[in-house]
Amino acid sequence: MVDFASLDIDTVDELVSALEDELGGVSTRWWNANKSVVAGYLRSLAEATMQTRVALANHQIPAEAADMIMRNQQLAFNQTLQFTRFMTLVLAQQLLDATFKLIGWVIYNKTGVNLAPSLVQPGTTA
Amino acid sequence: MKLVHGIRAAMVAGLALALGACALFAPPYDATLDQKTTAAYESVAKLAAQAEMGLYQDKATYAGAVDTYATIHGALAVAAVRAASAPTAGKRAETARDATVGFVKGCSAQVAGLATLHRTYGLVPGTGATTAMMVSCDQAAKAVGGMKN
Repeated sequence: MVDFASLDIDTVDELVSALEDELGGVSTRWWNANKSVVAGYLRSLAEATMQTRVALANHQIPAEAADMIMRNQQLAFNQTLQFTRFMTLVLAQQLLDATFKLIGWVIYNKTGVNLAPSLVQPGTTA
Repeated sequence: MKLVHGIRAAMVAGLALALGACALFAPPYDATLDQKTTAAYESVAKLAAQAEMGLYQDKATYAGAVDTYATIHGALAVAAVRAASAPTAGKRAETARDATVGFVKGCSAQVAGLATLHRTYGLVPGTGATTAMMVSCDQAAKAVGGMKN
């Protein structure tokens, strides 16, 4: 359990680590299944967050601008969560296509009958 | 005899449909959509790079950048319409298609968000202002290219 009141983070790496712990704490299963897709985006979020924090502290931007930037980050991370679900569907389709492409070729090579014309395309090497 | 041949042909056609029409989880790859989305993403990346190099630090520069924002919006709108018309063969593929449209629109919304920030405060380099847009548009480009072999 994170003690938010004493959270003292100064580097991107520290923030990435804290975010990973937090997401893993919410759902270890989700994190393990999606960390390969999410890790890069999480680091981008951490880097941008540290930039916004420093700019705000140094009065380079007003609080209102920082608020707009962080709201945009929230929308982007919400999209990242949807992206993990989308990539699961893409993987399922790729597995389906790979399986029936091979099966289609097995049948075509022995019978001349093409049962999967969108996947089995004689005359092309792919 | 003719009847037997007809039945056999119908069975082969039916099987071909079963194995061939298999966009069950995601729509098939669309090279034109990929090209359009990638081109828009490159324009987004150029806009972000210009902002991070300090070109738009002063909010007064917004007027000169409106055409760039509008061009990107237009390109993404065309991509979203094309993505929405992708063929599917099931509920899950429809979900994937709708998600792809959502990513392209999400990219467009982030461009609009950056435009609002630009118009209101200017885009100060190194403040994290462009990252959300780059992330959303990267995902849109990856989504439309997801089924490319």
